[in-house]
Amino acid sequence: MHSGNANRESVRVRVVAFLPRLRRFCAVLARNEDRGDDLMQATVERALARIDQWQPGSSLESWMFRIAQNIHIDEVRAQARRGVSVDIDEAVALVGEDGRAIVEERSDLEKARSAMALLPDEQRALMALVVLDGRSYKEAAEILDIPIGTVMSRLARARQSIDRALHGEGQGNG
Amino acid sequence: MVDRAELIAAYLDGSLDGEALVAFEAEMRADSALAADVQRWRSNDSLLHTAFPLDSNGINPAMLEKLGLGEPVPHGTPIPLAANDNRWSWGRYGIAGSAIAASIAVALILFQPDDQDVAGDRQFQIAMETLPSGQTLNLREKGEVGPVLSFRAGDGRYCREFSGEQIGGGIACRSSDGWTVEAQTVRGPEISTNGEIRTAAGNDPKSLNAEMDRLNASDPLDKEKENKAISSGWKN
Repeated sequence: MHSGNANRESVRVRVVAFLPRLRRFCAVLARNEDRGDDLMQATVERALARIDQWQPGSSLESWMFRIAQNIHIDEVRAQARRGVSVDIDEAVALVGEDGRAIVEERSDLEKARSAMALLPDEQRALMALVVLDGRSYKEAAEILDIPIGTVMSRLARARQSIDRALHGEGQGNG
Repeated sequence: MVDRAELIAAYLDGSLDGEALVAFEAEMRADSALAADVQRWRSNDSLLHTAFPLDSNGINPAMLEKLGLGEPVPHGTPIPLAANDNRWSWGRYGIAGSAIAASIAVALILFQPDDQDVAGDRQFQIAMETLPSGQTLNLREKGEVGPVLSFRAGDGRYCREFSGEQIGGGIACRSSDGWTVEAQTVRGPEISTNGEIRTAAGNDPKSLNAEMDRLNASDPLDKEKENKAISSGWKN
């Protein structure tokens, strides 16, 4: 199906183009830039190894998001079995920022990163897909294999939590 | 049952349409507390976009090699864009290494231009309304699009130059009804990962500069002013 060099090259070019978005998704999922890069590498390796399972005509990007999510879930379960916990201070040391940012803004950005890191995994994945990457509810539901109603409720709860974290307990009721 | 928070989220995500959208917008006009919640959540989203930028830094040949994607990606031809005699050039350079960067570089190979006016696309409206320059959203069937820089027109409106994988580049200005496309080129400027601006054959960003002259545009807003404009809903 993808045996031709032209197809292989086409896939490679698409994956390279997709890397910044996959990298952000992985960093948000993993709550850490370095672990995010490890997750991105594992995702790309699995995608290339199983490229024959991808259906041409369907979204390569959605398929790779799903792979990343599955690898992340496996890793979280493995950590739980090993009793590994993530230090939240480490967790908020996330994706880099513009070095020109002023101090006040940096503080807001740090609060935003912390708020995101504190969300449950399933809410964080949805925020990354829908709010950051602009995926539709339908696409997000397919990637995460959940009903659209669950997408809606989880995004609402996630935004309420983010709002409370950024503006205090008096906010976030929506 | 869909609660109020879910409705706000769906509205911000462009997932309300038809009667539901009309009803929600009417409710916002009648309920200032709801409108304030919507605006605050929109600002939160914008802050998250700034906090989690698309980052091409480090996606270099060594990383591609490590990922098994080792060969260089072909690029277009650099455009003769004046770096020093053009007040817009710095704004475009300012998004080097960003979202559009890697994706557009490859988009020249993968996609054909789309001439359709995108102003009616809700995701486009959200991108113009909430994204800091250099960030992108996915327009479903039309690929990534995002603002490149922001400025004020001579008539006081806020305007933004945008660039997208399939919709090309252009200028959209904010009115009370949302963002209206004032000008659109075949393809937006392409920014490669090393910050070099390139373009597809036939695209001339000077045509956008001419439009900016026609709009009697201000200098591009700096990052702080742009963030304030986004936070205020482009009203200050």
